[in-house]
Amino acid sequence: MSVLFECKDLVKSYGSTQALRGVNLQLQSGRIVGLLGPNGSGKTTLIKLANRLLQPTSGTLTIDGEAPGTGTKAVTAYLPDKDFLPDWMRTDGLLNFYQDFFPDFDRERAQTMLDSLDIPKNMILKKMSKGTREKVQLILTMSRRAKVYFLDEPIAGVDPAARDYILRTIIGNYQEDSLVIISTHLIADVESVLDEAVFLKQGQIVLHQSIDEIREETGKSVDEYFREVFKC
Amino acid sequence: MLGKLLKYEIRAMGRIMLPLYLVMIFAAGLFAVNMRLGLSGTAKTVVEKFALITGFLFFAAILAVMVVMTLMVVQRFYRNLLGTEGYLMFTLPVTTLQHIVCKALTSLLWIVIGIGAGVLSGFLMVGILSNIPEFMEELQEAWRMFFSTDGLAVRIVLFAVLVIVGIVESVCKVYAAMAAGHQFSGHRILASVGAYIVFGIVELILGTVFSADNKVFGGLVGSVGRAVGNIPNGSMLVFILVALIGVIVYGGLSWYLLDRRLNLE
Amino acid sequence: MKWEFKNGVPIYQQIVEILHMRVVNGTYPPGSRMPAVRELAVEAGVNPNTMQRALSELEREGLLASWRTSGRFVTEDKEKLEALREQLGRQYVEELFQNLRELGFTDDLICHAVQIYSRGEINDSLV
Repeated sequence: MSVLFECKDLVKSYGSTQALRGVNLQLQSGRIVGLLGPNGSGKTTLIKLANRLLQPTSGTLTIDGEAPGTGTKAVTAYLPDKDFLPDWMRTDGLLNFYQDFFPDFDRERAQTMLDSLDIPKNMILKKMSKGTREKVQLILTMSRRAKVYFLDEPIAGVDPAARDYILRTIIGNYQEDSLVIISTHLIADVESVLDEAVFLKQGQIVLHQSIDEIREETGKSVDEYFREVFKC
Repeated sequence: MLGKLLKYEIRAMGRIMLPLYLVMIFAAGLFAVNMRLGLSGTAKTVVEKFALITGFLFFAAILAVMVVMTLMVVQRFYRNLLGTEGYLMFTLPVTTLQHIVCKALTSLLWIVIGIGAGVLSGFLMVGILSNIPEFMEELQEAWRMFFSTDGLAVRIVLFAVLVIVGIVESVCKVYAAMAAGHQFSGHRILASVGAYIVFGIVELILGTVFSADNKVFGGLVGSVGRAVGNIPNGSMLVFILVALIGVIVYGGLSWYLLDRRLNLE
Repeated sequence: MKWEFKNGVPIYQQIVEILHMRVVNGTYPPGSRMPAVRELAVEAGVNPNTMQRALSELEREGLLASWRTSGRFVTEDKEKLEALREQLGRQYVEELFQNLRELGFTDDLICHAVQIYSRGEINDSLV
């Protein structure tokens, strides 16, 4: 059990808007954590900061004690909520790419998952349906043996069968020494998969508790409690 | 890691540029064959008709190569680093500097190959249109001249270096303009074009400041110029130096903006 | 397909109930090896830590035993399983009585209803 993700007084401003206003957070290995909040609450900003796609305005953020850089990128897996793979590449080309750049990439596992979905080796991404492409992105990301996984809205805009597949893949990929952070506003669907919930409201953390505690203390599901907390 | 990046980048650019270069060489050959047939007088009217087409195709191929090359340099940077692919590239365990160096070197490589393809086309055409023995003799003569004439080899090599550094500078200038334009979300393309123009203006201003006519620096520039004139190939070296400064400035600007001011959509 | 869970009750507790049922009805036969935590978690659609907590609870109750690295095994203690079946059965009967009483059925009517149901004459009136 170690702290794999830590923020201290993390602030991010864009001009006059403050996307994150002093975030303090510690997340441990072996957990699946939900980063929950409405759109614009700062979830994606926090994830981008963790992956060095943004620089903090002030405060610190560390992954396993290190500031984001090439060292942390080798042990962090990020699944953004957009199509981020070059669409002219083929499946096996992508496997080669990931294997080349990420020492922790488990190619066999990825191949097995792709095979079970009947995705051919030489199919070009561009020719795949949106759903298949998203699954490929998920498979590549989850086949990394990373310390921290960031999944940004992995089930938004996805049909129920695919949603099940995605959640099963996340659960099945669980490792004791890694941390999975799922950012979403669709709480009902992921609640049973999470260990902890972090509520993010207007750039600040308003709650960080285990799912069981929330359910016991409020007698409600986290989804219901969330709606209460974030009532407009 | 840089080596791996280069491998992918070279392949990404090559899959478009290589076929195009081959088409250009082929079109050159076709055109030359056509012209040769015309000269030898066989089936004049048919040959003349084709001459128009093959000639057009050849020049179209050259134009296509130049346009596509420029577009490719822009697109590889814009799409792969500033577009959604940036989410992949910037999460690789690779430094920003490695990304820029990789893109610049690959652009340089394919442009140089393009120039080579152009030269090859030229040789091909001359070869087809002239007699082979004569052609080989002339080549050998040129080769001998290259080594015997005083300082010619050095001058040509320096010129090649200038061309190479110049290409890298131009490419970095385009990258810097795109990186700068990227800062203005919503009007990125317009801002990039604007940045490029601003760079040009700044270069012009610096040019007038550092010229011998300048009221303030003129004297200094003049004496430096005279000193340079005394060194063999001095002016060429100065041009190379200026281009190198350009590479450092534009490359550095690109690096800073991508490393510290990245903001992917 | 994911298992169904209701609000207000911790998920691990609901998993314990489901596992109780499965252990008693022979889905996981006595002495047999339980599937791995991860496998069960995937099947149930829950966090592996939650599943682990539920399994540990069953271990604590003596229904499961873990053998170092070879995994978890269902107890062969027939008496224990019988006791659990008895306990669960009693719970359901209690629930039945509670619910029907709340609807205004007397205990006699409840027994009558049960008899009708067991004879398959479900279309007959319960009252």
